[in-house]
Amino acid sequence: MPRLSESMTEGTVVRWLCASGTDVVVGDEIAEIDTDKAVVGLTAHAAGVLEIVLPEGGSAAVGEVIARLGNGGQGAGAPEGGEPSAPVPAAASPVAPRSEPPAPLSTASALAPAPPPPRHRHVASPLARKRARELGVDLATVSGTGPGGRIVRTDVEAAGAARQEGPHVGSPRQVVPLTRIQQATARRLADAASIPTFSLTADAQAAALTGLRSTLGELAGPVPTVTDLVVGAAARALRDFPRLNASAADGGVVLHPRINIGVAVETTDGLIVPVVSDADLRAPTALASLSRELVDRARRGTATPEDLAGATFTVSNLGMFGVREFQAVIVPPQAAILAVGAIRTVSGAEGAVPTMTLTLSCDHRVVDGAEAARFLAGIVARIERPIELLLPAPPDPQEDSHDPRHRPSDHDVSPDGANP
Amino acid sequence: MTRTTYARAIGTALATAMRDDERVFVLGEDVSAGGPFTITRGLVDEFGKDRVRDTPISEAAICGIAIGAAQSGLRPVLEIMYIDFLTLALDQLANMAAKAHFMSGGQLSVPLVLRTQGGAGQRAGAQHSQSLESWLCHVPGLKVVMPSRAVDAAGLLASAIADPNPVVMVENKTLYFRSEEVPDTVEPVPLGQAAVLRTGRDVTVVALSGLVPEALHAADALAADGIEVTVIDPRTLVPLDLDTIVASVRRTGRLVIAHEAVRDGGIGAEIAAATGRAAFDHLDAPIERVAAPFEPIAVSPVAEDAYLPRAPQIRDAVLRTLGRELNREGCRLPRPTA
Repeated sequence: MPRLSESMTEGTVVRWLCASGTDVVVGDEIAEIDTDKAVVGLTAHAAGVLEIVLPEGGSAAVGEVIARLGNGGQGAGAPEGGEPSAPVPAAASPVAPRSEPPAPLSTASALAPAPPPPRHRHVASPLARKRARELGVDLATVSGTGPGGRIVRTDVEAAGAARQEGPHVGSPRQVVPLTRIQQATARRLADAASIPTFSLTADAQAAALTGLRSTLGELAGPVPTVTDLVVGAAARALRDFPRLNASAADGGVVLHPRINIGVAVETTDGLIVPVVSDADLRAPTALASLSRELVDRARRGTATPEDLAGATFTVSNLGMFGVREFQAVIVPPQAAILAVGAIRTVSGAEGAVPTMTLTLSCDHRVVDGAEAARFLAGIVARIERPIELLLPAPPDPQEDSHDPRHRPSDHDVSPDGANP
Repeated sequence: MTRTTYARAIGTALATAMRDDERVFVLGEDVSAGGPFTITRGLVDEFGKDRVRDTPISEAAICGIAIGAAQSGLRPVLEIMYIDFLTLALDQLANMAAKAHFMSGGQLSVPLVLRTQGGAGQRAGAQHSQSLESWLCHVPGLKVVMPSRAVDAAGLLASAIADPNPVVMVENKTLYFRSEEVPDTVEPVPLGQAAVLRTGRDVTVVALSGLVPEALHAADALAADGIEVTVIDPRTLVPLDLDTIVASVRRTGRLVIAHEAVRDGGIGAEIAAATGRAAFDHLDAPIERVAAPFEPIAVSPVAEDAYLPRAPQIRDAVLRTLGRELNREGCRLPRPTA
């Protein structure tokens, strides 16, 4: 199982595109793998006869063998008899006594393969297992009273009865399994819980923003969404506040040279955050066309790992649901996230004014309140005067070139507290 | 109902079959005198020496004669005095009787019944006490019945005589002279049909032959402590009524198999494997077997008593399936929680 995204620890074979016994050549797409973020095509990195080890629907940890590429006749397609096809982790020293052991099919050969997680099997009678399935009882929560602590039927039924007597009387609880994306989100947000966070809220008048959007729509497509324009505004503001485009690191802060904005997107499988790279350098229409492609791929489940990698800041917009304001959870290791509320009309001295509320949540280890406030004001200013987004990006204060590839290298760690 | 014994019930069933069908005849060592266990006593008076034939002391000859007679249209019921002596007739039985129908492409059939008896407990020693029924169960072409009750012995003998294939009936010497009640008219018992002798929710005990009454005793003792045991007598080993056993195990989740033959390679292993496969998801404990150790049987009463599995061993096995700590004396058992 190759590592197809940074945070991938396990993958599922959605579909094999070639059958066992197929002669594949380098570059053939042979399978679709569901990582924690997207369904990704797997291409052969060696030629040979394909021997599928992990059937469709099966999951494996990164580094486990999911298929072999052999030279035919030597075991490919002959799973029974001969030597046992041990689940050798990919790239572990091949111990097969054959003269030409089939190459483990994995792009992770350069990475140290994670050892497969230990399988903990509860000691339970077959009947106890059956009853646990029927009652939806997790054997991990049951203590066995049988010989040697074996879980027997009465243990499972007692656990089931105890649960029924709990707060869920009447309707049996339904446990909905998490999709891979939801599992990844849950893991990452649990990490976020340890971040010291503060939030700032500000209102921005949105008349100019919606006006610009309408005007651009009359001129040419694609029409930027409100989210696209907020992303553009935030990206331009980030140029002035590098501490917001940063990550906490041991004893310091990593300032990121590029401004890549993650945009939270709801899909049927869960939350997914495609990344608009170099968002500060793109005009609104360019942002719109890029983000439209990204969102389409995310919703179809065909986002590539590149689509999802490298965000330095995130924007989450729930305005389309009528949410006025909310706090978003920081996506580690980023330093901040901007939550965008609905555009609503506020009556005041100037009459009814379209207004949106922005909430910025920050990692206090990376940025302090005053700087965050100035940054938020910078976003508000750009939203209220969005014409700036149409101008070419101002020259980078530290570089002559606009080419993002020539920006300062990553891992530019400044001592904590120093003003970069 | 009539009070009778297992031995007398078999003799009565033989007489009935001989009366009903003049092709039926009996042969064996000393059968006109009734044999060592009086089963055939009196038959010679009613049916004469032609139909109750004493033979030389040659089990191979007895069996060979019976096969020839059966293939010629008669219905021989031969007696092998002790199952231990079956060794001498095995070539005739396993290679001839069991194979004739198959090897003749169905042209021949061998409708014989071989009666014999096994079992220990009478200080008869290593050569007169064995339980060798699993040997017979291993030969395709033979049917094997092993009843534990007088009514079943009579009913199965009637079905065995009517069956067109060779059937071996394994009786038990310790069961012969117990007083039992049987209906006035004994109906034939179909081959391959188990009897459920007691129904209980906790554990299924499949017991064979001499261990059936022991299992019922154990069930009584366990019931006093609130443990309800189902006792099944398969009655026929080939073909085995697995359905009845599996249906019971699906209810109880626990199975104990008890037979007097040595454990190793015993028919209990076959029943355990077949049930384990058919009822895997219903098993709440490993299948327990109660059987004799893998040793010859001693004449010494002390050694023989220590050797034989009986009700206490069945009770202990039931408790093991329930995960109960065993009390060495077995006098007070923990109350069941379920």
